[in-house]
Amino acid sequence: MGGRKALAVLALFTALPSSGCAEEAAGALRGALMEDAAPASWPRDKRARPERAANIETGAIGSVADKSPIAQEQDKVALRGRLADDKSTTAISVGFAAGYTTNAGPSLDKRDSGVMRTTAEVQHLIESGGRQLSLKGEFADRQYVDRPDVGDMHYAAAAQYGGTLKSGAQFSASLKTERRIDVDENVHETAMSVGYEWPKTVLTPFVQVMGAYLDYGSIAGDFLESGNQDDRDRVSGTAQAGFRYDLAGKLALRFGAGADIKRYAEARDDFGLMRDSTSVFPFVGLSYADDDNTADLVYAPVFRSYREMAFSPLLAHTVAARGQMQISTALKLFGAARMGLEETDFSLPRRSRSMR
Amino acid sequence: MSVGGVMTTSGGTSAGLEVAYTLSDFVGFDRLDRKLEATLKAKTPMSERFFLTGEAKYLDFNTNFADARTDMLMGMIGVAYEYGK
Repeated sequence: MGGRKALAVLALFTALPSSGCAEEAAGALRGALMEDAAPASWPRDKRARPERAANIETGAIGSVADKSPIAQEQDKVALRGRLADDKSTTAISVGFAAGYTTNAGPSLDKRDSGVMRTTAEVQHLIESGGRQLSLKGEFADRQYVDRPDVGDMHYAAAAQYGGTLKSGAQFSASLKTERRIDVDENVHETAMSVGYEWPKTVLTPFVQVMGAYLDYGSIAGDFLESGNQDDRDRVSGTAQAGFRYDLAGKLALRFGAGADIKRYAEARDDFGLMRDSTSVFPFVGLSYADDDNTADLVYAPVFRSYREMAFSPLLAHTVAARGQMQISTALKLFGAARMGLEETDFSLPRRSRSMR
Repeated sequence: MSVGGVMTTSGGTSAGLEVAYTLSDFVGFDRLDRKLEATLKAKTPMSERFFLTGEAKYLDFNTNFADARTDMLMGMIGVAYEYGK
């Protein structure tokens, strides 16, 4: 299987929801379907609570795609809109930066260059009757002075609607389309998610359905002989259901089960193999949240089978952990680690461990 | 393994450091990829809506597949305008 094309991923990744502060951690994943859009000035108890029940991401949310918590913190400044009387607010941010890099792209054929980056972001939030609508657009263009062929453009548009019904049930729906580029990936992802959690009881049931279409482009710089990844285009869908059990005021247990499918646009990849797969998984997780700190841990053994007879079914033990701690009013620490199962262009999944 | 943190002063200046490490082990295939990323970002207000920004980033990627390897060091300084604070 001569080295062709780049790796990269469609991650099968589990992330545990926070119970009380889900919104704080919800934006931790770039490409996440439930990004927190509420401005920091909003009272916490008035924020919509998108329930990120223990979930398996359907998009390419590998560690390379994780949004930096640094960016989250600094974004808050830009997005701290004040609520007007009509319960709506708008935030806009534009920026320009210039500098130098030892590796334009970056790519494997390393070449240095001056670099310029232009960014823009706009967000509009509306709240009414305990429900919240968030509309967000992002744009970033990066150009290299000495190497225009590896310049890249990132953009994203997202809409999220969620809130609490009179019955106490919570719901959320979101749609996002995004293009992103990394050293080993160039993908346009369009994803949706719908979630519902019944009114709180001893055992609170919840369901969530997610879907995504991933369209891969070539990678600049002859990455691993060829940057062509067109045979990775695919549809991915995940459905899951479970229960939340509050062990204590700040501690919650979640458990349930789900299924995931991946269907490739091309019946066979460049190696002549069928890569469609179907997975089932139980999951169990524990989350802690107080006013300043959050911690999540989830475990899900994933059993996956392939349409291709040459691939044996496999069992992958996936784990995700994430936490943040407010040390003082001026200092916040964060960390995350995960072990997941990801798609590659080498026909075989890979196990990935990332520490952040 | 990695850690990260963000520090914000009362004057509105913020700085963050993050280090991320990814290890990818291909199932049934003799390939192991490693990627290390370290990012330092800072932002300080010049006026109510204008900010001075700075960023430094380091990347190291290598794989035993074809012994491919690359790294990157990048530094940038810029300005930003924000409305809606």
